[in-house]
Amino acid sequence: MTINEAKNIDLEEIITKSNEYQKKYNLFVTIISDIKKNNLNGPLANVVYTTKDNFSTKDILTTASSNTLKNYIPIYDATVISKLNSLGAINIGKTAMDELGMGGTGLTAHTGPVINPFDETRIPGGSSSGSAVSVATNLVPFSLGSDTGDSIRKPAAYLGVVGYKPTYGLISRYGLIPLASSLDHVGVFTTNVYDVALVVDNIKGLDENDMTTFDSSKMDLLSNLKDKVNPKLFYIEELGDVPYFQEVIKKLESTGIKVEPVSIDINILNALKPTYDCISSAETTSNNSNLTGILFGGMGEGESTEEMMIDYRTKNLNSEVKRRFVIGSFVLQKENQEKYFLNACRVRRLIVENISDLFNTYDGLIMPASGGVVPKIKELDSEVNEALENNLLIGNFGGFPSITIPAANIDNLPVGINLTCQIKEDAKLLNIAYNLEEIINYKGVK
Amino acid sequence: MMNNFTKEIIDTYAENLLFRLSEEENALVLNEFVDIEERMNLINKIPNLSSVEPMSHPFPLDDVILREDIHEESLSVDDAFKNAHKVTNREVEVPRVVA
Repeated sequence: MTINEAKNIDLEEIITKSNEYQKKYNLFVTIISDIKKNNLNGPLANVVYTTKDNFSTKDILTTASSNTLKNYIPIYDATVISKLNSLGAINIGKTAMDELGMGGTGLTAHTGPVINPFDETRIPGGSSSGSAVSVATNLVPFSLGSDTGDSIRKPAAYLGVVGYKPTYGLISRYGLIPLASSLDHVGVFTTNVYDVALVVDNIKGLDENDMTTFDSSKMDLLSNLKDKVNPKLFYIEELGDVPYFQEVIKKLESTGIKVEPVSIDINILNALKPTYDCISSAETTSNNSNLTGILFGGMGEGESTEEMMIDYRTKNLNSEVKRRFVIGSFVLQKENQEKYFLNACRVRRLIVENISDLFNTYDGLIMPASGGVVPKIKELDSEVNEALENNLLIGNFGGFPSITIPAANIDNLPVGINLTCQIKEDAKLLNIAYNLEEIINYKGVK
Repeated sequence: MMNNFTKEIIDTYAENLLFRLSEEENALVLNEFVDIEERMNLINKIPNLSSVEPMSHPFPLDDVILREDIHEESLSVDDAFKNAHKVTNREVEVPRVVA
């Protein structure tokens, strides 16, 4: 469903459909049924959307799919929510996610696993799982998500939709419950690239409440889609041996687009995931130290304040979150800081500078968004090519704008390609993606 | 690789972060830690890291302009306590610290 097609949706019908889909896919934490049409005009007026449950919504339950926040009602709206409200877009629900954004399976929300609409024996991908499902099932034309490692772009690939995270700071994160602040991005799911430009033009911009935002007033994503550039792209040779991806490259080359393999030190590629694990675990350990139950969320039991906090966190954090916190604690131990945490930050620089230098020669980096179709739940522990499966982390390390678009179906399950450009070149990124989308001409899952 | 970790070390990491691990959770993390450390060490396979400046932000924030201080209304007491579980008058109620 496109944004234009969603303009005349009957709100009662959408609520009925949301409840129906909730029974089938368990994609919501909260369905917002108290909604009505407005008299506003503009491209997003009366367009329904969903938002991941880690965006603060005034007077509406916001849990980040965690028991630690199961009763938390924010007293303010995130900046992106305020902007969409003021444009007359209609938020119909808060979507389930991996708890606090930690995970890529969609199985760890406090409300239970989110179901893959194409094959219930497989994960939906995550952490923005419910958001991806809401767009993939054509319930809404767009959804807000967040992306710290690949949490928008990977589930988008698995479910055959478009997933975009912008340059770090293009869209305000004020009101987003943080995971790892130096890696967190706000982004969107849509069914097509044009709609990404339409939504993001309306939610980007400087925000005095988020000092990482930058002035993008001269960046017009939508109007920049018109004149196609003929891009020169590269892919990472060591990670490019994926049959569906090679097919896409052939297709692009047949239209005159240049795509060249570039070799990158395998040691650096193998370090992608551990670098992410070190940095994100350390940052999230610190960011989530406020989940004590004292000021919000509920309260633990104990004879001292400390005991109450321990009780609250012990009972309400899931095992995966605790695991990541323990890793965070490990890398931040005095004796480990230099060896792990600071060296991870050094490797991050090497990766970012390496890719950034290549953007002097090439317009963009094109990669398979995954090594294949979405995994089965029971195969989650199987060995994978870690560097390939985690290549999207590059976009978070450098804050590069990055988008996944559907590429093909394998056994009637979608796979996607990912495109990444230099920072603040979001307009170029969407222009190229718009072009590639037309060439690939993906028809959806039958 | 030998496991340098013990149940007690893992528990200490957890306790420093104000939570406890069940026996099962501890065993899970403990078993995984050899693997975690091995993977973390992939970082240290990269030569000459010590000469690289650690990166803590995706790119330099070179256009941050701090505004003048502006007087604003702060959060109301009612709003501040809206999500607190136990509130007495204008304070969150917790166990007495001083006898």
